[in-house]
Amino acid sequence: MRSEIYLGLSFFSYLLATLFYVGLQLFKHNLIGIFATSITTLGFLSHTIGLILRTKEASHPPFTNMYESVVFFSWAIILIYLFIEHRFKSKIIGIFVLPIVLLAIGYASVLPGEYKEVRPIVPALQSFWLPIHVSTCFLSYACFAIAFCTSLIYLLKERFGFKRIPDTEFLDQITYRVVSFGFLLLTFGIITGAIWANYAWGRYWGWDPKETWSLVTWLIYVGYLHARFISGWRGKKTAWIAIIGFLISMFTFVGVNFLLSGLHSYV
Amino acid sequence: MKKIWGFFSSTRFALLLVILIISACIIGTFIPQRISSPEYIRIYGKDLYLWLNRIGFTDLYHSFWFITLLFLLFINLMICVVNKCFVLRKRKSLFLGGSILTHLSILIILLGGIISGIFGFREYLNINEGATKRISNIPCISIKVNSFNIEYYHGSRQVKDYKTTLTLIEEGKEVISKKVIRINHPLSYKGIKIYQSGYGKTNRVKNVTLKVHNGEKASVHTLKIGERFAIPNTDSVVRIAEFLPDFVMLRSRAISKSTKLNNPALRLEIYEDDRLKDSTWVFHKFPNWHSSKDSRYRFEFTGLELPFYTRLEIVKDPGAPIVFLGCGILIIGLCILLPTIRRRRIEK
Repeated sequence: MRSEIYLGLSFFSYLLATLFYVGLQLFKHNLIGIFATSITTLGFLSHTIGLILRTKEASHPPFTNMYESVVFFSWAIILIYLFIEHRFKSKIIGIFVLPIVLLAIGYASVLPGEYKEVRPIVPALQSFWLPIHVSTCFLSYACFAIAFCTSLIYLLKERFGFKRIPDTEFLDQITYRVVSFGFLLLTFGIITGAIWANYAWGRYWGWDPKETWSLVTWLIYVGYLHARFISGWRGKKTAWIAIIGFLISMFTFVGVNFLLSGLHSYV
Repeated sequence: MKKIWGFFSSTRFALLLVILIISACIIGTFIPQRISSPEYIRIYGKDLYLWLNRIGFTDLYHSFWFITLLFLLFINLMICVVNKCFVLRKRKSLFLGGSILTHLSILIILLGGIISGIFGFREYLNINEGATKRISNIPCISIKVNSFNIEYYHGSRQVKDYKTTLTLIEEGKEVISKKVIRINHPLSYKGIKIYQSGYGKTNRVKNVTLKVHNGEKASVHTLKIGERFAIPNTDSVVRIAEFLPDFVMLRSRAISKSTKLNNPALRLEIYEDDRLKDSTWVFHKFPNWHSSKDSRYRFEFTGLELPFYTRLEIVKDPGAPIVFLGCGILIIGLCILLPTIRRRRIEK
């Protein structure tokens, strides 16, 4: 399938870009940084084309099975990453973000065939809410992934005091901004899920494992925001909450499907 | 007394509650909820099951202690919102307004949940095509299923859509007639909603299809059990004498082992001039099996059509609009709150 060629191409672009991002930190030459960003952007374009082709091949939005959703998730990470890199003019985060994306695409490509193949969409998923609910949820996971990376860098800086890493206050600020944006998206995603479930099944909440884990994820980030603004936690402690929050959101995304059964079995 | 009150309304108590609620939620996803007792016993053994049942872990999200935790959180949040309102009266701030809206929205959502739990109901009805059943929570209303249809993706057996055409009868009068419902498209009537929830096959046979080979020629016949047909261009008449869903031979007698369609079989009687010439079994799953002594004809049991039943879900949920009102306020509250907390930090 043609979509897989473009996704393969984006994988190699991200791999190459990772080397450039690492190289930039080693040799501190502007040109390397420009290359890193350009190659990531090219990979992102190819990734986008791949998703569009996949949508055409399947004739439905690309979030109806595990393969499609992981590919979309990694796309969302790059989208938000490129925005942040542009906005905050810092290329250090790329060293951590791109490997996560490589891991995600790698995972998607080694999934067994039954999780990958294009299948006609089951009646329960044929809804106007599908793209809204699913894309907001995955975008929120992508935000949490970025916050995970900035928190990791923060902790490394704290522990080893790398000089080249931007100051910790800056990292803490970025973490907060992506977490709060991700939190808003997750809230929106859970609410659209509730509206859809109410419309389709007559219940807005059913304690399905996916729902319950999304609530757990939501509560962890509620904890992050309160720790920061009520208890005045900063830096190291909140960085750890962001790391735990991301791991839990990944369990909500992937783990629930493999370990627990429920209504969300198709994604 | 004041100390106790202070503790119950504190952020620290809220944190404790949230940690307990998170733990309970996680436990509930690892223990299957609300499955049948035999299934629980198969998974956990009898002693552990009885113990889990006693502490409410088999229906954790509706257990007394879980609801108590939510109730305590509700009270805690309410005090928190009231306190914030007092502060807001003294000192106006956008941040505080957003914070109040956000916390108030959670209160509204929890309230909606309580109303759903107390005043709502939910039931499932499996209704055969053509049959009528009462809604057990509202006995004056019954549902008649006019027809049930499945649509497949072109050239495959994958289901694309399924729909039920139903008529609603209240106190003997038709109040809604022949309305079509399908997944994601329910029917509303007087605060109750009827959803297409699923479907299944009954094990009573509606029609069977038989292919008859007569030398080079073949003909296809679709009939009900007990009906008969003539093989074209011959004197022979075939009667579909008997149907067994799960054929086995027991002491040289054919019986059905269960009502499941494990081995559907038909007994055919072949008549010539109204005299029984032969009787033979044909099997749906073994088309090449022939027991007939009469070698002129070869019968193939090619199809069996079972009537479907439709599974409907009947729901009344007066709490839902309140929950969604809360959700709307939550989004507005967060949109005010999240940008202002950042500004508040920088002001400091």
